[in-house]
Amino acid sequence: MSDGMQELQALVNDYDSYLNRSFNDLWSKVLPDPAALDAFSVVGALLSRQVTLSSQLARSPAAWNGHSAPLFLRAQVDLHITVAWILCDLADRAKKYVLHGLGEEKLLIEQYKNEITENPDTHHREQMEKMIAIKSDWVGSQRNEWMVEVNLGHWAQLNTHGMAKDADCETMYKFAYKPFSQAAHSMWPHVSVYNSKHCKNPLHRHHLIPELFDAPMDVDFLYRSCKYVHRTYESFVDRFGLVLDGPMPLEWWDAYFSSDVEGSDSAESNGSNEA
Amino acid sequence: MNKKAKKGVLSDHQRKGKLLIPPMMQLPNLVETSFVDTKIPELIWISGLFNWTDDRSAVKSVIEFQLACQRATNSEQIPSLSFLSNFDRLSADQKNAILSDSECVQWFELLRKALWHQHALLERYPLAFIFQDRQDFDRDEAVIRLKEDVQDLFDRRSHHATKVQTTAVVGMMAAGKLILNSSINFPDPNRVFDAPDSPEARMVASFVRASLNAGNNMDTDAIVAARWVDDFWKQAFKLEGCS
Repeated sequence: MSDGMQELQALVNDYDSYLNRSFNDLWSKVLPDPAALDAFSVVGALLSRQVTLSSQLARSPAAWNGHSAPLFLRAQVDLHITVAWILCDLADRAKKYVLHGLGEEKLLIEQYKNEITENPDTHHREQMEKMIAIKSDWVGSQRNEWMVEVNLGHWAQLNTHGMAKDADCETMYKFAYKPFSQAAHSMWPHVSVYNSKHCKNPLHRHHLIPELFDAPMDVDFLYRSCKYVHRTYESFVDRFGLVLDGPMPLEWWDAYFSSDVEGSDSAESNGSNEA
Repeated sequence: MNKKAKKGVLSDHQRKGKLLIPPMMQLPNLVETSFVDTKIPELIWISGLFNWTDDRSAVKSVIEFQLACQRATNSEQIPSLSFLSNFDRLSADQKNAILSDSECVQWFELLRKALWHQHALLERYPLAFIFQDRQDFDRDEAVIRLKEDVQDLFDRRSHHATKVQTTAVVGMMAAGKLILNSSINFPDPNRVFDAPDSPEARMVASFVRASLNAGNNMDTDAIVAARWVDDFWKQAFKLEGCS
């Protein structure tokens, strides 16, 4: 293995370990309100999801490029806005989030049932019946299905921009959520750059033609991912008044790249780098 | 309270529902045009003349030839021949008059020599009537020449494109198709050729670009022009694959 590959492997391993430790540290310090356990379940799951996304991206260096990384980063920014907004009014907003999710599943169950009614001989019937059973159990475990409302609008009754403004992260919405959404939704600003090139023939008016590019790997995408974990951690720290034992994500990152790292975890094991 | 209200982004745009309309697009009767799409096929013959003869011959042939055509057809009603498609609007009698007029004929050799590749490659080429039957030709060389004629016009501010546009507009003025109000101070267009970086040359360049933007060939019948323009790009596209 080349030196470069070894360094990369060390970064992935160290970052992944750090995420595990810091997540456990952070969540162990959150004291759920016994009267609002569901709300804590929501933000806890979102926290886990944020860390998982970053960890999964870290473990896939081949995806640290303009084609793939924005798919992770868009999801992370979206998640951060969601969790930051919920934390502003934990019990009420977490409940909305859960009820919307239950309603979406109820609608999907009904659509499966309708599909079976309309096409009773479909090859997928058995699969769909299993899905109905699994999803009905999931919904029923939380709420009687007949009580579940279906909300066809946005769960927060507010769009993402509105949520970001409310949660004081509008800058993140403008400069991260929107640009990464272009990649996630395959919009023109993305595909015209990452999936097209100019034909060099002037007789064709230099039109754009599709091209398969290898986008260069850039560790900056992992840095962004780390930054969004940092922002989510900050939301928890601020909301619940926590103090972590170890460094926050960006502090860990800075320490990792500013010190002469020779072995794994050396950045965090250096006392001077502790937050 | 701070009286200086903070201006939002794009505050000069007009909001219509979810749409933000830029100030210029709020003007009535504004029509979006593309120099590349609509003007290159019209000016391609002048571009070819500049590419395959010297500047002096190119300018003289464009201006003198269209003046000679105007005299030969004995009609001031013919459209501006700076635009290639307008040769298609000449009647058969008018074309015959041009073909038999010695003043016109004297330009034929130069035009044929400079523009043979355009005639050879393009069906329904509006200047085809001044060529004899199509002869054997080197297709690869013809395509290379045509590509150069087109490529050199893509940047309409380039020196080549400015020479072409200036010659087209001066040709229109010489033929009385574009009449300047006496209050307009139009600098010497020769500055485009002998001092292209001079302030006068820049003024000329700006004026000719604006003049060519101003109308669709300065005539009322855009159908023939549109036909040639579409035809040109369709044929050009099929000459070669993407690269």
